[in-house]
Amino acid sequence: MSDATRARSAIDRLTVSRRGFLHGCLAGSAGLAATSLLTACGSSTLGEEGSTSAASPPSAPRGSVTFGDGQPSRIASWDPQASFGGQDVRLFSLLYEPLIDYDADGRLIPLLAQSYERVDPSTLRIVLRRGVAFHDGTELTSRDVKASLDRLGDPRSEVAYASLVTPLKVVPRGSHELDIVCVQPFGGLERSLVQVRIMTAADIADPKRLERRPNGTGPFRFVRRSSNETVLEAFPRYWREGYPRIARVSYRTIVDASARVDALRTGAVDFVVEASPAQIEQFRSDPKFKIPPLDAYSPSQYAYIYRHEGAMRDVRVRQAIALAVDRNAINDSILRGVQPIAYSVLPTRDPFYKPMAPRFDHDPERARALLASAGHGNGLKLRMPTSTLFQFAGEADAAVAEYLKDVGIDVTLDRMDVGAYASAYADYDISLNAFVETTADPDRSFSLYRPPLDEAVYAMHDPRLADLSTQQRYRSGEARVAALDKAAAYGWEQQPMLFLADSVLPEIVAARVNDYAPTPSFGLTGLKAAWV
Amino acid sequence: MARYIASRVLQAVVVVVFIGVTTFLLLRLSPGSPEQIRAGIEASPVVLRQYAESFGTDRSIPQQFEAFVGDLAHGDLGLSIRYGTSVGSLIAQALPNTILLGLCALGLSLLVTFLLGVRAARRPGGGADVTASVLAGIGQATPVFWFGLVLIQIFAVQLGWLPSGGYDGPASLVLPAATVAMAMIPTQIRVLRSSLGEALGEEYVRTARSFGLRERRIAYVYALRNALLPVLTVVGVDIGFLLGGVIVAEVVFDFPGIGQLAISALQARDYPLIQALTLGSAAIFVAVNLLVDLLYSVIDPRVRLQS
Repeated sequence: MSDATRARSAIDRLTVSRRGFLHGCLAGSAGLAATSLLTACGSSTLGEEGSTSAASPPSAPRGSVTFGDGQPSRIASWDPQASFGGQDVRLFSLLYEPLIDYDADGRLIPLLAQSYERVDPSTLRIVLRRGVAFHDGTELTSRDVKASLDRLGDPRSEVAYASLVTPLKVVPRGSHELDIVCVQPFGGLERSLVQVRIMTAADIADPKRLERRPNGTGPFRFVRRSSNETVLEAFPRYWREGYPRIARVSYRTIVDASARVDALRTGAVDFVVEASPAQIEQFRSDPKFKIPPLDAYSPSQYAYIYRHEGAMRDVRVRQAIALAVDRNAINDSILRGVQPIAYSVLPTRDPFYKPMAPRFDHDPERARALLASAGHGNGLKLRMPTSTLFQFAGEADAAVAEYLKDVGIDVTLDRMDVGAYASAYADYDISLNAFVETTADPDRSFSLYRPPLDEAVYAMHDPRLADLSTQQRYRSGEARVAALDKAAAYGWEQQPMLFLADSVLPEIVAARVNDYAPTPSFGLTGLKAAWV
Repeated sequence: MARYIASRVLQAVVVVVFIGVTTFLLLRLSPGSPEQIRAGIEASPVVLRQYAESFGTDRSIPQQFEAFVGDLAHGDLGLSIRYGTSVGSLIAQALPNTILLGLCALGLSLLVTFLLGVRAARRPGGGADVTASVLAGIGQATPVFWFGLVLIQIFAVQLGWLPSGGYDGPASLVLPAATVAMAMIPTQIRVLRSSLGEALGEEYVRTARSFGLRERRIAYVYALRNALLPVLTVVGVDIGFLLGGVIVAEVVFDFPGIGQLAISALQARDYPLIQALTLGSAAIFVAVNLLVDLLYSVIDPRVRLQS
């Protein structure tokens, strides 16, 4: 048996998890018991949600929908610029709005801006929409936009979202017109703005106000929140006539993955967010549910991040790891092949993605040779944490460890709970994570390789990669495309992470929900057009 | 009696304090930092420091302990790191749901135990005895989460008779209560059957029979009371199990109680919330066991409580 075959068979064995086995047994036993009962009853009681929908969108908001999310929100304050957590951003996307957004076809469109244009490579002129109200009744003016953007644009800003747009400043040109002036030409500015949600100047001056309630211009406003549920309702003064079309939204935390799926199947929730590859495969052909097109979502990737210390500082070791792991096999089996593999530091859905060469396809012989040339011919020891942060993580981590063992890298897998895992990456050589380009702009991906994140998070010291990552940011047009290609080519050669495959965190949607269309901007902005 | 109670209360306080201190230390010494979890992997050191300052985790462990004890002395359980609201209000929202679920589960298990256990003891080898044995076997061999998943598949997903999770009224209690009860029934039913069977062989039962009393009256009025002490001990232990079993059931059934709260607190290393939940659970367990001990003398006056 060849090395590759052995490794593949290791993956095949791993793909039947304990939970998967139990679910299989469960489905079998439950199916046997229920089949006779169902036959006796003569009817199926599986959700009949699809038949309850009216034929056309309502003229006023009606009905309610419920989301089921596995991770509790981390929101302790309703400050939309202070938290990157997926659950938080989803809620913020319903409550707050940016100046510019994507439409369902992935095109940039003005949102709170009525129009926008580049007046020179460093300046974006914005005309604000009139008659837009915040949830507290305040009208949106350029003062609010200035406060929102200056807060992030200050190079000394310590707000989490500052890395998206800094450095820049806002120059008002009237109550509803302003210029966003970047210190240098900023090619990704418009795309970056889709994640900058506008707050009132008063809330920014006194952020403690946001500890009590959110205050955006979004289609939904806050009603109440408990430890496992946040309830929103349609904002009656929402500026876009006819929207939103749903009267009430409940966002529930359902920690257990099977409980979330059961809730969806029984109609207790209408959306399951962050569906796993296995769930996508499971629900794809079920007519009672819909899965939006995966390429409509933000570009994202699963990657094993490295601490660039010790042996991991050597590019030959990182390249050897890339060659040792059969990403195709892992993607086809454990990730169910629902997403493609990127041959770049950028995910394939990034608008500037181009496959790089060489591909670093599975080649254990070359991996061993590279390790030997790096002085690790007699073996290398690495430590990797593993948890259930991603539903497939246990299987993927074990498979990667097997592949690395095959080329002489002995990986110690430390099993831990999600809480420990979320803060363990700095203590381990290699750990799985997901990176989402929330703005659908490559600047988000390249922000990982330049200060302050490169050294602080990855202990990475690669001045050239940091420089190239910065250069692409401060170019526009064709010059930016060229800078991006250069940065991507060098980044791919350096293999700063083990890029596993594209990831996507789609919603599984009950059939009764109509016209729900996600966009490349991370969040749930597609919900305002949806109706039941 | 008063001396006995005072002594037990003192013991209980020592146990709860010990658990509180141990939990405090273990949390600080275990892997995972609340500021890193909150801020995410991409957070800069400045943001991490801000969070650490606001959570109080930038201080030394002795300083944190001093603050914890000081707040506790004033009845302040602190602010939740994950939710940003007072721990007391979070527990006040969740605890009634958990108590309700626990009581329903305990009530259901006792109902089944007494219905089947007494009949099984009166007629060994009969239908009730066989049913009790089978039920006890299934209950002991089945993990709580698995039994819960089976019930959901059958009664919620396939038949659609009951909700699969959440809490929207009494119907939402049926499946989780049955799941937790199923885990308690085996021990309760075996202990009752055994102790009642023994009691039914006692001389006073024969005397009662010789007086012509009806079997039902003998079993339920005279023998059962004497067979209750071992069952009561088991119920006391089951309260401890309830606290754990309910957490599993709450996760499987997405039931909004302290189990769910505990899981999310643990994932976020929400120190104040975890400490409060642990202390509360320990206090409840100790209090219930004390109550059970006191009930011994009520049920059987021959039992004398001594310190």
